[in-house]
Amino acid sequence: MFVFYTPPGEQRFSVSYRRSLDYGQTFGSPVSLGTPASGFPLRWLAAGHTPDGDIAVFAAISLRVFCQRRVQGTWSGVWTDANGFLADVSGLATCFRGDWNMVISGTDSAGKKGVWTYFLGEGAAQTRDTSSSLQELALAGANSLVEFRCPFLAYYDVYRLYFVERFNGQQYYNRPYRTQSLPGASFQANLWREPVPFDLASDYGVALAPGPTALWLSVPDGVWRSLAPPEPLDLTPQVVSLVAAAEPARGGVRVELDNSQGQFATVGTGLLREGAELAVSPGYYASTGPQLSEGLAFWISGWEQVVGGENRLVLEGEDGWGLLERWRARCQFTWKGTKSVLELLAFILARAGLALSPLGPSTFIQGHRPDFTIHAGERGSWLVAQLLARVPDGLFFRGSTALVKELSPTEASAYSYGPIHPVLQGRYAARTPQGSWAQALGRGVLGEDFDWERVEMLTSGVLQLQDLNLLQASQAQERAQAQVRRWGREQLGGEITVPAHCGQELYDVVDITDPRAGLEGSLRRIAGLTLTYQPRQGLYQHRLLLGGV
Amino acid sequence: MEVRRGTVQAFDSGSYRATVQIAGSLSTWLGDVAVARNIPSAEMQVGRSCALVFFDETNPSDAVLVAVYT
Repeated sequence: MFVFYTPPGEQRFSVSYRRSLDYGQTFGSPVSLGTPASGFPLRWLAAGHTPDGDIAVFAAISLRVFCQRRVQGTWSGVWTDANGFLADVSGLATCFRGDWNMVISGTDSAGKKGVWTYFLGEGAAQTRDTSSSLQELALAGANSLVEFRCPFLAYYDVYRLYFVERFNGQQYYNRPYRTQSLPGASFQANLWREPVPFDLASDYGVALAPGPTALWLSVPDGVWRSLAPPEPLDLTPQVVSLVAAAEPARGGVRVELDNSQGQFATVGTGLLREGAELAVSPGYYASTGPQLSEGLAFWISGWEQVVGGENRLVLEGEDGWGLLERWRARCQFTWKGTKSVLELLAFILARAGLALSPLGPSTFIQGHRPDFTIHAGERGSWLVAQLLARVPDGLFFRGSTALVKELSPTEASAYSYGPIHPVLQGRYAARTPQGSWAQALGRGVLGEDFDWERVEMLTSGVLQLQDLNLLQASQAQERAQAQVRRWGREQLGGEITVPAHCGQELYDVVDITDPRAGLEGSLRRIAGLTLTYQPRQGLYQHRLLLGGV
Repeated sequence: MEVRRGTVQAFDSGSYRATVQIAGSLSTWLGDVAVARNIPSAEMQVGRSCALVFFDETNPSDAVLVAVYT
């Protein structure tokens, strides 16, 4: 165990350490590591170690961060530049995971106050001794009454970060906030959940220490320990009825469980509680054994206990759209052409705790970088819908991950319904779409697209889309084309009921053969799906809403 | 189109653009907002309330500050 500090009696210019070989019961004599920057008092220290026991200690002065390493038991004796260029530093934290992942708080050269992440290379994702640029995690305007300090970072199951947000207004507060990275997300991705307040007033924040079985939090007068993650609870044997639905921009589940033994009487206090994840993984017994798909994930949003007669517990859950609906922006976020639509989606989804995986996104969603702002109080679901309305892509959920893919009219069928996979019931509809001619008016550019067949039928006039983020004619063309494609998907509708298909997903293209309606390999895009599972009735079906391709 | 309330935080009489604290955002401001030229420069005082029209709700470059009041 090493303790790093600035020696008392000096003007906080140098760094020293003391080492303990008995877990902190006794410490050796002080050893000086020298002065990082002569004449500049130290503002903050942070230290971390690699799995091999090598150590890096970081020392922040008001303008930058310096680093000194101890490799195979030997200190380098040299303080090297470790980025962290700010006008003032109010906190510093590090955590080694291949590279030295850094969090720094303070004030930048423009006077903005914030929390930023960056990493110093150790040879994994970043070349050794080079550092990345700072990426903002929380920001406050130069004249705002909000400031940030004292970050602490640790990797336990994901990256966990605590920092102090101080509000210097009349209703002063000095409160730790906690956030975490998404499961599986790299530190470099800088995708964090919305920071939420921790019920504590603290000037110096909350120190984190990951142990083998728990994450520890500590302040001078308190210690917290995380609970071990619970084992998943398999509810399959108790399912009386399950209905899970996914549609564009909404989805939910309702599960009825047999509670005749009273085993769910404590609902709300154990695993079955508000916010717990409910994974629905439909499957089949195939010749190769049980097969199942990842299916859908929901989060419990309510329940009913039905007693007398047949005792039941009914769980209700919402999907990722529900989490997006619950996320509201705390402050103004603004990007002036610095993030693509795909990156903006990833930011919003991450704030709600959802990952984004580009399954087959359009080049437009990856390349178009609009000026975009989020106002305080706006909901994530509305913002995601606004972004998707401007691109030819669709978003759906697989488990707790949002997938984005281009809804191309030339997409090939991924599966056939009828006659081998029978269509039990069908309703096939055709309707006049809302439009057939779209004009996108950008900043001095015009893009147009037509459904010529319908234009000639005089069924609708032109729809004008005004968007000053369209700077090039090709962008305006893409926007108009996406709108006409959307109308194309609207002109075919209906639904089919089929034996459940475990791998069926929203926006898949399928072909349908149903001689009763004169359909022979007719292409449709899945516009919604509802899975119904009632084992006692032997019912295991999908109701698939249909649209054009 | 959306109308939002804000507070003037800064004003550049040269570019005729302002930095505005949109109601609800304690920590971050919206910068580089166009200001209607019919508003006299002297009226754009820091701390005054203002009204903004967003022609495109999510595009900060498609908005104009149309009124300032106390």
